[in-house]
Amino acid sequence: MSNISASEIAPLSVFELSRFLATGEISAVEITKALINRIEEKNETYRAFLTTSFELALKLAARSDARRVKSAPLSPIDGIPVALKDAYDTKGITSTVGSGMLRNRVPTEDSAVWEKLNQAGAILLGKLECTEFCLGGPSLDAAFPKSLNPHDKERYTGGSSSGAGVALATGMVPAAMGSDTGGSIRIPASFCGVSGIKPTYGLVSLRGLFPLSGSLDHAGPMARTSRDCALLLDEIKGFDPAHPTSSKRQIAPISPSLSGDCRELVIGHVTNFTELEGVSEESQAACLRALEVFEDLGAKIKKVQLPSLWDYTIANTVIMTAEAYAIHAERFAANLDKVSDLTRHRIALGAFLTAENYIKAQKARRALSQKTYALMRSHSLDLLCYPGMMGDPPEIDKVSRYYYLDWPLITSPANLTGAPAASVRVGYSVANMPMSIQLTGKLFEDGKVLSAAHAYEMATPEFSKIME
Amino acid sequence: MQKSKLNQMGLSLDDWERLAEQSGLDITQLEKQEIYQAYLRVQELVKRLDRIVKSEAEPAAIFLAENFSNEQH
Repeated sequence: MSNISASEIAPLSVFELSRFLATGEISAVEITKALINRIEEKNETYRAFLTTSFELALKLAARSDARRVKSAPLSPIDGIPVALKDAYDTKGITSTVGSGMLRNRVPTEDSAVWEKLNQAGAILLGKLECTEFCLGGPSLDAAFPKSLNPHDKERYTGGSSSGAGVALATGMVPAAMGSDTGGSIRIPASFCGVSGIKPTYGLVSLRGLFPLSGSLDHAGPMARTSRDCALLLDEIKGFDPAHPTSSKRQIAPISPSLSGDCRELVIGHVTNFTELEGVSEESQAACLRALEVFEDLGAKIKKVQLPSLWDYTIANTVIMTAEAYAIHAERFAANLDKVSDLTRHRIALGAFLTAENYIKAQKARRALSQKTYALMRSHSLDLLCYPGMMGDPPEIDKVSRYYYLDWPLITSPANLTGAPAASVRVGYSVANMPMSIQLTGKLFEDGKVLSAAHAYEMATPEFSKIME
Repeated sequence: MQKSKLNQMGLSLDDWERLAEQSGLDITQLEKQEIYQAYLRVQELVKRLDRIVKSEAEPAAIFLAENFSNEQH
């Protein structure tokens, strides 16, 4: 019998749960039961889960406990409950991609990500709400109820991995999988006050993740700490010969090398992103304060300027919109009335983009990537840092359908360049909403990004909390 | 919107309406108007990219034969 009560389990990190499992102070079944109770208590209000798989979870938890008795755990996350954005295929479990059109879609194969998590001994608690076809949101008329931001139910959770952000912030689950095409991991992580990383493009296989835009889609972990993101990323990364975008270049495990030491780091503060029109004074100040923390931790800070954020945004938007239309054109030709108002508008725009638009955007992608990495090399930078979001999450009913054409998308540079990019909590605004910075690195240097994020979180534990 | 400005940015509303019909998408007149405004905004923003890449620059998609040799995908 556990020494840790059920109510004490919800706020624990993957790292902490893993240590308690290793010492035998708690069992996987006890953790799973406690979190099932938490979901039953919280999900009616916050609506993060679309589908639960409690029976499977308890079965997997019992197997994990048996493994520990008989032999050894499969990985550091053996026995840890997780949940997946509903865009990940799970064999025999409904996977709707947040759309009523796919409400009865039951995959016959697992996604590569769940395959790997399952092999590592993780326990699936269920599938998480996401905005329809991962297009971002909010969709007020979507087929499934929207997740609600626990920091303020009237404000947007961020999307498209909205359920993941909410489930983590409310302690329903210690780790989740999101996906990110223009910011869909980092935006909900930021607005819900949790951690998330969009890994290097190709580091995590996209097989079985419903595509939005294949050349920009990224699969990545979300958790309440960057150390937990590293623990998950270590298990899901790896070359997958069954998917053409999977990279053969792989990296060493990240979590064993995390430290609080930033003395060797050189961080480029992207001043033209921080000082951009539209970035709130609070977001600017929070970014500057975070850079001071890094300086105190021994990092060297240099001021740099990247190309205009609008250049990254429009190239990302054209590629994403054109590729999304190509994926959905046939499905929507006869069923456009069956999707949400927002999906209808955003997908239909793709029908009117020209081949010239798409080709120009792809060429710009390469040129902008070259400029970005050339700047990092010429200034000997390890990381880039800028505000995570332009400001507080907007009120749900005040988000324009094409907001990314009104204001540039501060998350888009990392999608376009394929760079690893983490959202890191840096405090709370006057309205008591979470604020964040983005840390981005060079390709395949995901470890440096997470190590710096971890060091920051260790130095500022006051920013880590879940909503009771 | 003046016709000269439309020509600089892309299709006129009439041309765009014809394209909308050809697409076969079942969108209302109100939706058409909003999507058309978004289309104009995209065309305006795409012009920024002319500063970054020339039209005769390298191909957008690069096909490397060695990627497909030795039965690799």
